[in-house]
Amino acid sequence: MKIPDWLSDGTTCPCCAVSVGGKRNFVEKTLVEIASMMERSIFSEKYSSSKGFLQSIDPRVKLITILLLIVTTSFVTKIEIILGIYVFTLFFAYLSKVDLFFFIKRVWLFIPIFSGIVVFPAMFNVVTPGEPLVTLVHFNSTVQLWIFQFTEISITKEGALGALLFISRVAASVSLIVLLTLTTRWADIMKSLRTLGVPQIFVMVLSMTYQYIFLLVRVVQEMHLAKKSRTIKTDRTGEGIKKEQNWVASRIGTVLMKSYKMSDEIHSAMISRGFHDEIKSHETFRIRNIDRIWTGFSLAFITGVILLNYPV
Amino acid sequence: MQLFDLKNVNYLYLNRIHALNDISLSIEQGEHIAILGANGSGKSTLLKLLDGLIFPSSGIVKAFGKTLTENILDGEGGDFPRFFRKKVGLIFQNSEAQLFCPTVLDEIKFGPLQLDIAKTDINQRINDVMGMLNIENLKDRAPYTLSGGEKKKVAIASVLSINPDVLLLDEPTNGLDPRTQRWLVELLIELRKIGKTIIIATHDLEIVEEVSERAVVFNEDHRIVADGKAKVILNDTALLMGVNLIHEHSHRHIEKSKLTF
Ligand SMILES: Nc1ncnc2c1ncn2[C@@H]1O[C@H](COP(=O)(O)OP(=O)(O)OP(=O)(O)O)[C@@H](O)[C@H]1O
Ligand SMILES: [Mg+2]
Repeated sequence: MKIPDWLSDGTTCPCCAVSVGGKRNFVEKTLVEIASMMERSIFSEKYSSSKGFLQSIDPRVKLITILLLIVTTSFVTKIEIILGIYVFTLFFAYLSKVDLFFFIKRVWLFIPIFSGIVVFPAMFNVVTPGEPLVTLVHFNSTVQLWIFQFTEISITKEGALGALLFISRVAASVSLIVLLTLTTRWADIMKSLRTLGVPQIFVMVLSMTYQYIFLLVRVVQEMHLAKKSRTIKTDRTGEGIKKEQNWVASRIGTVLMKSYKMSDEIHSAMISRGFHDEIKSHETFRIRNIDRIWTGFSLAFITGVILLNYPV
Repeated sequence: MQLFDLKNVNYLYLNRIHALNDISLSIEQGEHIAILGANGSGKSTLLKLLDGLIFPSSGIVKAFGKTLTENILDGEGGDFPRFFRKKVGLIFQNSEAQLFCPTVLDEIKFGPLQLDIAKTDINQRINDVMGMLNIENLKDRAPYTLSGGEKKKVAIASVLSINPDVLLLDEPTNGLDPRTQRWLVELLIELRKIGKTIIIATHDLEIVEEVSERAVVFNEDHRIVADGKAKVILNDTALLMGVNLIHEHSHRHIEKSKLTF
């Protein structure tokens, strides 16, 4: 075979002034960040396989009690009690050998996403009328805006308290969820859902979605690397980032096609191994004394919380 | 006994991309066949057809004396679907797609469970298969976190645990380290001795002669251009070059490797 001349023209690079390292670009960083965050918060088996307190509880029992605790939290109206629940989660995170700093960081990372948008407008008198704490703008006449009527814009005491209550409620609930997912293997959560009578198909879809997200993130990451290996220019100005974003957006289509084809293959693979309508499985969970103790304790805790909040 | 019988089979993806062109082929029980052909010649498509996952655009595929159709492998087939799935196992080229359970253990259990094999038998099989492939330590891992070769091993284990009589393998040595490749070849030779039917699609010409005595060669037109003794076909350099499977320089390599056997 004759190779073209230009191909053999690859003398060693004299241009050693090429800068190395520097900041990774925005898109890449975001992707890597998302992937590693998921890896650590949900996919991580680091805590679920260590030998702490919650890890030793039967996953079904854990699932039910934690769901009950979350429901309870949503009924509580006193902020002190919610903070009590939050401290409760910290205590059990500690007992379960979860790094507290990691745990707190994880929870507060999610909170802005969940609550920020909902809470922000509610702080203002426009949405929550009441005693003003800080007045931002004052109008000379009443302003009529769609269904709202106001003469000034201010943060109200009621609004701020409401926001605080809301945020702490979200913090407590998210802590409970994170506690559950950190101390339980995903596979066990799925199995428990199944034994608790959640329909097979729902669990199957949920569990596949989860694996899908993981695969998709990886596919995007790999495509990005593949592209990077073929480009040199790393423009980190606004224009460059915009281009990168556009590229990623246009790739989403490809990823969806890929995942569609893959789902087809997965379905074939299931059929090939005898799948027919209903998936069959063995469950080998067993209830032990520690599960009974934990159940008793959480029920007592829930009762206590309700009595404190709604005294008879 | 005749296991598979294909008559004038055509297969088109999306009604326009040709993948198989007028294929006629019959396979007897206990045969060991290598399917050879360049990339895109239709090997994987043929295996999926034999596994009853896709159905011909025209022509007939018979397995165990019955014509394979979507209906017979679905609700209307009575006991046939279960029988067929127990008898025939396919190891996919893309192990990523083949693994869909939360853990490796669940993965290996999946097939036997669907096919209603007794619980004690299942546990026995799981342990044996994991021991054989040396993957006990991966038992609780999620398949999507494994390396390429590890995935392949789990895929192989998940099909072996069904204990099919007919094994369809699509590029099984791809991505395996040399030691595991060797192990797989030896396993195939063992399975061959106990009378399993083994059909393997591969580019790895070095293992062909060891694991199969018959070879079927596809050309880039998706047609079968040769079907006969593997020994003869492997020595037919002109043929292999004609279907772009080897290069004029690669025959030396084959001959050299033969010397070592
Ligand atoms: N899902 C699909 N959709 C459309 N076309 C496909 C699909 N799968 C395969 N093809 C096409 O069908 C033809 C045969 O593909 P097949 O996968 O059977 O080849 P192969 O012999 O297994 O190749 P390789 O050695 O690369 O694995 C190819 O031309 C391929 O492009
Ligand atoms: Mg193929």
